[in-house]
Amino acid sequence: MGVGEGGIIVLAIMAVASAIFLSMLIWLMQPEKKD
Amino acid sequence: MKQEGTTQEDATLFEPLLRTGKGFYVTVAVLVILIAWGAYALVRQWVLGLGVTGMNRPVFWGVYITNFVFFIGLSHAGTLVSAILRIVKAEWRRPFTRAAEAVTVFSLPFGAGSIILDLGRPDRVLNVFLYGRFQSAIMWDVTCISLYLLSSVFYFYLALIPDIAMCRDRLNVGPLRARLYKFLALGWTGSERQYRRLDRLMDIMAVWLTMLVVIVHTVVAWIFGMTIVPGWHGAFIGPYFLVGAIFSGVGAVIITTVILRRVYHLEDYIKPVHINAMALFHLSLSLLWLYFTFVEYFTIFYGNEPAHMVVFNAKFWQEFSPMFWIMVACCFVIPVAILSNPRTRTIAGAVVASIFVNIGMWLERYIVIIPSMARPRMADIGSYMPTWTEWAVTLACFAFFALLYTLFTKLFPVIAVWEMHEARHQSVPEAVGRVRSYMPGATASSLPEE
Amino acid sequence: MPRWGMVIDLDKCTACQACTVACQAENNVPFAGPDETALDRSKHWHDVMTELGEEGRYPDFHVRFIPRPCMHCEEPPCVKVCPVGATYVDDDGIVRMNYQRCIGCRYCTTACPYTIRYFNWYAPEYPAGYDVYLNPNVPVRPVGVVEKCSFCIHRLEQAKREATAQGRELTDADLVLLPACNQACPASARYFGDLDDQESTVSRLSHSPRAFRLLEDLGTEPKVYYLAEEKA
Repeated sequence: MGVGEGGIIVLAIMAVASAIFLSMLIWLMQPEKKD
Repeated sequence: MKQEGTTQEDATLFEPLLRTGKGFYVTVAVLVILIAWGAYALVRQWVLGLGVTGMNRPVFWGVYITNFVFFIGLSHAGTLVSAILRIVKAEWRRPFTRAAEAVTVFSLPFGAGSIILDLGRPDRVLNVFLYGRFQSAIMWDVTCISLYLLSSVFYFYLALIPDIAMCRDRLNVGPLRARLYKFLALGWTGSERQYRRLDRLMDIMAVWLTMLVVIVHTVVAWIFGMTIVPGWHGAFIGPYFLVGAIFSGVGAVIITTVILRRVYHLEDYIKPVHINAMALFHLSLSLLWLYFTFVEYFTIFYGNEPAHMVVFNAKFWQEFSPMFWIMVACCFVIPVAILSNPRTRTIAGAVVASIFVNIGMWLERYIVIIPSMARPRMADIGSYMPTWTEWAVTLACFAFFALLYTLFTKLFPVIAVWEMHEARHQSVPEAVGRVRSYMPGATASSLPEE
Repeated sequence: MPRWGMVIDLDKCTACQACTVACQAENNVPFAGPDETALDRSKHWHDVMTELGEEGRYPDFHVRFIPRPCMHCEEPPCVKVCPVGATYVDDDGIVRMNYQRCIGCRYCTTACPYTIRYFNWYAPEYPAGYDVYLNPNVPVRPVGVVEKCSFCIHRLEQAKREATAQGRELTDADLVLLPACNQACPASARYFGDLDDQESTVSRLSHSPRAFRLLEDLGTEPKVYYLAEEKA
């Protein structure tokens, strides 16, 4: 691996984790259907 | 389980959010002064250079890197108590979980921050992202610690949501705080489905965080272990650091919880039985630490390799020996003496043991890092005397951690109210049912009713 | 591609330290002063180590003096650990420094088993009036970065340019005394050149039965060879 890709990898991993956590929150707060 | 809005139950836990005594202001004032002194020392260091510290050639790393490892170690407390005890369904964890998670969330920034404080060119820290090389263990660290910080904050927040909603609904506070609670509660209603989903998410996060704890502290150890420096290089340093981190982390949780118990009158929630459980856990970790330490040093001693023995002798009999043996006393002799005897394994005893453990574990990090550098293969024997700058910055890190923690206790309950609710209304019958299921017999109905 | 290396004949070396002083002057190595030196912060890109023998009592003990530049290892532990690539191996095998990129984390200084790397704890200082003696071909390093011997890469690049301008290759004669340390040696104990050029002095000497390298068992593959003293 050459120079320069390191930062992109870190940011990519953080972005993926953030996306997963955000979707977890969305799933948690999903409005319930009124019967 | 629907959320019940009883106003009397758990009112103690909301008291600190509503009333502030003189002690709070005095504490904050003292902490701010310590932080200011450290900030002055740091600015001076940034202006003049790292020459204001005691570091030199060959002892290129000192107190700051020791603090880095120490604070990361502290941060494993929360994950351990909250995540791992949750996985094994230890019911006695409940009064500890939030306080422990807060230790994690507030100590991690000072772990990562200590590295930045140690850089010769902190103005170039972005180079790590622009030019980062994954061949270097530092990049593994940056990745893992960033991921751990994000995940811990998220887990902390998840576990806070139901309580934030309670604050939103029950508390009579100023408009700014009311808006904060409303925003952070994200529209939590406390319905059955929401609690079930929260439970599921927390189970997932608990497993993820447990994995991260193992990875993070192993990777921190590999900053040292992946070099060929005698005393650092070896397969064992990863597990050794991991056990040490959990050991010091549990001590930090005990100290924090007992302080909170005293200051916020939580004697009803944090009982001797809880502290006793943590203390026994702490005791077993002390014995495990001794085993790991013995295995490490005996192997080196018996192998008798010259470069390794030079470092070994420096620790056992030469200028580092007072620190080394004080470390052994603080990490093993004193804690085991206090915690193995039921008569001394009181709340006070557990706190005293924990204080010694944390002192000993800071010394342990120092003992791992400095002596190896002070015995280079091909240069004169080194020496290291930290300067006031390093101590001031160290103190400021602890003070800032304490300040963040103190402010947090004013905003959110330090004990998870909804977890206590869950315990009272769900966990008792659940635990009974579980134990019943362990018993021989085909179905529960074949067992005699109480 | 050349593989630059050095040979130092310990039998000829008198430990006069002309090499150390020449390097200091050539490369603008900052003066630490007595206070910083007392704190173990003096910088010597080139140094002469004193190795006391195990046996013997005065006056019958054995001392060995070992001039010590950067080893420019082929498997450099320092390059491996740098998080930003501020130190790297170039095509000719020289371990280079990028002073603009270095963040001063000192991982490389810690990882080097020869302890040949130095750190700028303060901004560099020179005695009053010294600035006229600074070598314009070598950058003055700022505070907070790591520095070390470069095998006088600036002289090497100048020699390459001159040879190209004259339409010829570099010869052994151009190279043997190229670095400042070699040039200053009054005992002609030092040689520089292409280890892969079988005709070169360094290549021949590196295969001498007297030849050894420091810390060879670590696998760093250093490119500085020493010729052991022949016993009297």
